[in-house]
Amino acid sequence: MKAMIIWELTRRRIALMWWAIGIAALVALTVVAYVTVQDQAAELEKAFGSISSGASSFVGTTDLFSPTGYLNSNLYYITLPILYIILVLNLSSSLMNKEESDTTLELLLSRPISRTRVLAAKSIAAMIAVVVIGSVATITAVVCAKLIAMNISMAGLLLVNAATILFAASFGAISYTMSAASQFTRRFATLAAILLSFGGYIVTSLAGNVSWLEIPAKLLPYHYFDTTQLMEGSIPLGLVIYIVGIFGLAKLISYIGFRRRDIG
Amino acid sequence: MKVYNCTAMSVTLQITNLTKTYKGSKEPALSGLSLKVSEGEVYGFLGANGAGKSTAIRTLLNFIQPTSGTATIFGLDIVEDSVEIRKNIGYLSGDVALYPKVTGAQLLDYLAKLQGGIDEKYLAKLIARFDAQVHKPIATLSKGNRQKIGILQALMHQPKLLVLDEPTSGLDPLMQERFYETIREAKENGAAVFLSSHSLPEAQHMCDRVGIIRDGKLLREASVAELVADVRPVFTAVFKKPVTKAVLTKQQALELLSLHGSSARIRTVGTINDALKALATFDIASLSIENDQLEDQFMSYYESEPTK
Repeated sequence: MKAMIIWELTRRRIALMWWAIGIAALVALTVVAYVTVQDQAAELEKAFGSISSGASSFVGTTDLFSPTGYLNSNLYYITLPILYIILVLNLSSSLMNKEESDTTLELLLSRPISRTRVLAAKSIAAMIAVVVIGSVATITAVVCAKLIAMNISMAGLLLVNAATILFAASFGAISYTMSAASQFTRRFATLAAILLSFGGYIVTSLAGNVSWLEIPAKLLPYHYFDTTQLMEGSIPLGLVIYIVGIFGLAKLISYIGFRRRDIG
Repeated sequence: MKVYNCTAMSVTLQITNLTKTYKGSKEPALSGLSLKVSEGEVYGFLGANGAGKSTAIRTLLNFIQPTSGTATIFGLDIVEDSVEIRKNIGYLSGDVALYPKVTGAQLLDYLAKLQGGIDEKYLAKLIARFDAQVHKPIATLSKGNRQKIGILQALMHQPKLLVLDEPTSGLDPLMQERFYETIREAKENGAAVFLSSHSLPEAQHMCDRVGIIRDGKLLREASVAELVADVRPVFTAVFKKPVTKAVLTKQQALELLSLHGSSARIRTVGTINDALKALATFDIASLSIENDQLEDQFMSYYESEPTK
């Protein structure tokens, strides 16, 4: 299993390195750019005070210029999760779906390794990649926030980073599980994860202004991704239940589905 | 782990009534297949494209699940004990898919680790024998050179059973000969070989026994010698003087296939000796025997009505 994890990470090392550099650069630029607004935060807040609730719901906050509001609206509510989601969907697709359609999966399964171990090794490799890239982004955020003396809780910053990584990884887990579970679900794996994540973002953002969307929004993961609460240092219970539940279900469904299904 | 009672200890692979029907398909891709392959035996599984060869192989490797029936390898069940079985199987798929960005050496090293270790000296010997380009990225290799990497990964751990789907596809005649030589060595060391092919001459070159499959059903199982014995040779005779159809059809040892002027295609009816004796009664300018009769024999299984 160790050999497989190393193999999966090694052959993607260049791509992963660029992902880490790109995300770290985005985080650094966004955090450091706060120095241009922090002195006029109060005035800007007043000027943008009339922003509609519909517009503000799309950035996850009405407070746009406090350190928390700034990071929330510019980084953690949508930008960073989107990038991580693209990364994890790309990883999950190439680790499972592409291997099966290219039939290289058969090369692995002709060796004395159980399907469960193949599944586990690939998901661990994906998790390591996401955690390493996420850690680079987190360290960059903390260092840059310190550098510009941003008035923000470091615990909150660490928490929102960790939650963003896990939240995005959950969509990777959904796509990966659908790829593993059956040949039918495999075809729609990436599409379903995209719909659930981006569709969920749109529905949750609109729910504050469109009353009939309130109930469906509660069924979507984005509803529980409260970055303001996370940056304040507390963990939303709904988010914890969603993440633990989705990873548990993913493990169970992929194990049951992949164990005995036809490959190819 | 289910261990089946292998009374004949030499039986490596035993398939019993194996059937596979894919989801959404009414017709089975494999229907009631039964056969045995023993230690040190090379079994050729012959059939046209879509006959069910790859389905059988993929079922044996547990890539797909049988709909019914059973199969055992080394006395172990192919579904329940597939991981244990694969310790001693070398597999080469029909259209070998390899990771394009890595080199052959990197891929072989990785697969050797997954296999649990190999004899590096043996791998080096195989690389030299096949003149394999293992230090170039796989994407830059020709089909034949990729096939060599595929062959190396199947053979490098010296498995007790080789399952090979169209193994010589893309190899030049020299490499084909080296492949045959490697298979002969594996056979001498007691390995069983189960190979699929749609080329009867290739099977004739390598196999002890062959099974002919069509529409998922095993039509005929025989040794190569038995298949050859079934063949009624076809001669092309050119006579010095024109002969009539009536004269030739009178000969009981001959079956006239065609007559154009003084050239006739004739199939033997009884033994070759009888046919030659009958031909000797004519004034013959030249006589030649057609070489691809075994192929014709094979094709005859495909030219008849469908089995379903």
